[in-house]
Amino acid sequence: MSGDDVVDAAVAAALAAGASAADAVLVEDDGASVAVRDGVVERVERHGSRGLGVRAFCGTRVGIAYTNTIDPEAARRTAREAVAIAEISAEDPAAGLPETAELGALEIDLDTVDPGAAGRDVAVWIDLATRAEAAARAEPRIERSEGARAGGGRRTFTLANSAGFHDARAVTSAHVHVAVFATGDGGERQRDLWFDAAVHLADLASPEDVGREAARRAVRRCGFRKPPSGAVPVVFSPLVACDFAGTLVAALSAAAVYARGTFLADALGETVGSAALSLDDDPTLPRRSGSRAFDGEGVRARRTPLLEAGRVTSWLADAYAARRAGCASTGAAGRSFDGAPRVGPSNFVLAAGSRPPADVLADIPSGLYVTELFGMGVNLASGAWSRGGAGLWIERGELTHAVQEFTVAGDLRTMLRGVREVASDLTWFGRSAAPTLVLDGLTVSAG
Amino acid sequence: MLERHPWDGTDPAALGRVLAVALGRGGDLADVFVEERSEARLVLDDGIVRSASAGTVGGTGVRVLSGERTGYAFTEERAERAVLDAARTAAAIADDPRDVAPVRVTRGRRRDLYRAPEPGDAYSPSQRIALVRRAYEAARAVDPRIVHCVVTLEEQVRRITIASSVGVVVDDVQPMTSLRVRCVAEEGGVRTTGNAAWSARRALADLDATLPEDEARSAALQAVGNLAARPAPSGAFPVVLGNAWSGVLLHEAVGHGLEADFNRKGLSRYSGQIGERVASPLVTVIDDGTRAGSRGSLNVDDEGHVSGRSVLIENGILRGYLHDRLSARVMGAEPTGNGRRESYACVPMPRMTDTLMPAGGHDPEEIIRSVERGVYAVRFGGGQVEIGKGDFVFAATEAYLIEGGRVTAPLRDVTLIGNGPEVMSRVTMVGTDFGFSDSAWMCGKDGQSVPVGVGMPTVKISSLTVGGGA
Repeated sequence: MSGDDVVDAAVAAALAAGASAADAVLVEDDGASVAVRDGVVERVERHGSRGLGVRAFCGTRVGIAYTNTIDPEAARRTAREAVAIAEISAEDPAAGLPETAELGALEIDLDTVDPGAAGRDVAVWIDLATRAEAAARAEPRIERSEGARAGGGRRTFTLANSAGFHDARAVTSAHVHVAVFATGDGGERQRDLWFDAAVHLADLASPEDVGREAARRAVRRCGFRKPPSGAVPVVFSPLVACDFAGTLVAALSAAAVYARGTFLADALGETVGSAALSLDDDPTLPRRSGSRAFDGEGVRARRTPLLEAGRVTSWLADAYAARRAGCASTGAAGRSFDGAPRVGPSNFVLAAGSRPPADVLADIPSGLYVTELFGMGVNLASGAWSRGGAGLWIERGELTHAVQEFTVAGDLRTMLRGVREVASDLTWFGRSAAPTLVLDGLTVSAG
Repeated sequence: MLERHPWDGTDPAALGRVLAVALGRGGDLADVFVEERSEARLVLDDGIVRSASAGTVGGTGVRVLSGERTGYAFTEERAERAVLDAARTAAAIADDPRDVAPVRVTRGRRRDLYRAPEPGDAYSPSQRIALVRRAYEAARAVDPRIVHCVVTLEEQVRRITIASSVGVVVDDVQPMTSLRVRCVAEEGGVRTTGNAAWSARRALADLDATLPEDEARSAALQAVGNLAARPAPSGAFPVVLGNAWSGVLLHEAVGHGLEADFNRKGLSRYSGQIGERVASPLVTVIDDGTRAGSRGSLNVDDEGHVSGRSVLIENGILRGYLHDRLSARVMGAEPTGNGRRESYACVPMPRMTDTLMPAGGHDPEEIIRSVERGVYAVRFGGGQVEIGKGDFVFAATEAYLIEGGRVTAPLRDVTLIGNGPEVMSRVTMVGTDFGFSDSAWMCGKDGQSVPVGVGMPTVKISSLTVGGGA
């Protein structure tokens, strides 16, 4: 039985059991991954998962049931369970399928499937991981490896609803990841990693480049110092800027707005940030892992500017959050088979500026270049932001020694206004992209 | 489709056939992990039932070990043919084909720390809705400045069977009930949050009578209290960690670094230091999977080993690591009952269960009084550690300034950062007030999440880096 038949059978069974509306999703994941350490294949894993989820509405009451037994009888049984849950649930005036006019699929080729990236032939992944680790280990000072991993897979998402929507989409992904330890002059040991991921195997960075970058990052950590404490200009590397952009996307979610869970809850239409800041949710980009022709409940995909020159132009919304927050769906429903749709971005892109990062750095007499953030000190409701970090010290416009063992903290409102410049080096990490950023208004603490 | 050999994972003969195929390419050891997980979830969002869901998922994973190499494959089909296919895939990690007779498996031992749910335990949907509504009403009643409240109730029953080529089969039924409350408070443009959660291997019917109200009030009071909070100072200060929740420190600063997968590869900050001093003599740390009904407790781990109580650090001296089967084999140690996995789709790894520091000899009030100027950190949102170097960071969601030996102003969103062994050597006082945090902690490692618990008494760290906005 194909996925099409299963989701159709589930929707029909939900209606037959008394639902006034229903949708059903089938998520199919297949792939393989390997781990290599010191040149030896340490682990080979293959996966193949299926999940069917049914959402049934009885008027404005909703129930969700799911299974990973995929056959027509299980589909019908799961649909009846969803209806039974809806029947005993409570009224939610905002519940329902998206508006029918919004349903549909974008009609451009997003080019999100590469059979080479989906391969279950583990020899491909063993080769990538082995080469990446070998390249890292060939570098001076790299004396120990945590190992390299590589793998690929394909996810297919099939959705049908009782308003006549029926479509499927697929995306492939390949990745390579290396972590190594460098040994410094005093015998100190420093770990770092590098990685790449792509929808098409041809777009994946060469494993040698990934390995050498992991080595370079580990080596440059050696001889680190603690940075001076205090308020200094802070530069986010593109990877760290993606983390920051992800925080902004979460703060611009309609689900956070209606739950009063974001410091931006009253900011629609207001200028909250520097004119250098623009942020889009964009599912329409070819060959990106977050690209999709329709969202998790069948709403046609479109690019949504969230921030334009520092002004909040739209919330990110699925159908439910849109009704609660009093806006329209932006086609941003994420969906797994085992729960309700949730607001989630497709690809998010923090727009690049005009000057290359070296020129931007050259203007900073002294400051902190952050290459890594860790810890969970982000409170979207209050806007408080406080993280552990690692990076490099900037002196007279140049990157100098490594710095570690510090926190960097501020308030997201101040950080948004404090973005002094955005560089031109837009860099992709999975489904997010950002350039180098320079911010004022952060406090560094190193004890 | 009619299946000639349906698979429910309980027939010892069928498990023996799968193990034989798994070893058919020359692997040293194989195991079969069968899991069926039933879940129900209810989300009450500002008094509205936003989401009610239920489902069952399951599958069978086959692992083959060959030296330090692992082959793994799983299937979600309930057919012996599919499980045998997975076994052949996993077997390919080894390359020495041979004939293996079906493995005879006999029933192994397990603990009896929680009871399997019975039909009489099941709450009706309307009882569940009534329970989350009670929590919601209690939170809203605390203060008019509470502007939003979300209550989530989750019930899960995990049925597992593990058969291993050493000839043992063991099964377990693992219940888990969790209640989470999240509140937002607002006043004059300031918005704050409060979170509380409770989780244990107990049925809904066994909950304390006032638990929903207690958790809700706790979350609401935290949110309201944070309205008056000011940014934390930045710099190195004496820090008093409150009891129970602060066990996050043990989990991050000690526990992860003692998981033997990192140590067998020599990658941990604690590698090769058994018998050496790694903490203040006041510090003892235990990983205990045997606390009856507790969130981290296990009758058996996910490799079929009986759960254990492992002393990791005793009076400051490193005593042992947490093992799974692979690390125990490689390091010549006994498994400690810490081989855990998120699901049938995942390989097991050494993981923590409930990680604890026993009570010491100091009066908690005396500990506060001993600090002239510092930070009292009470509740935590979570933490993270870099295992190679031992650097950790964790975020306090409720904290106060200590001035002149007294707890004074509430502080907002404090991040604490330090190095595990360095910070553990700066423990100068340990309170008499051991507390356990059953706050639905989830531990993430290598993409796999497992439920854990933490507990400790009030503890003084003589100096710790505090990162605040001020």
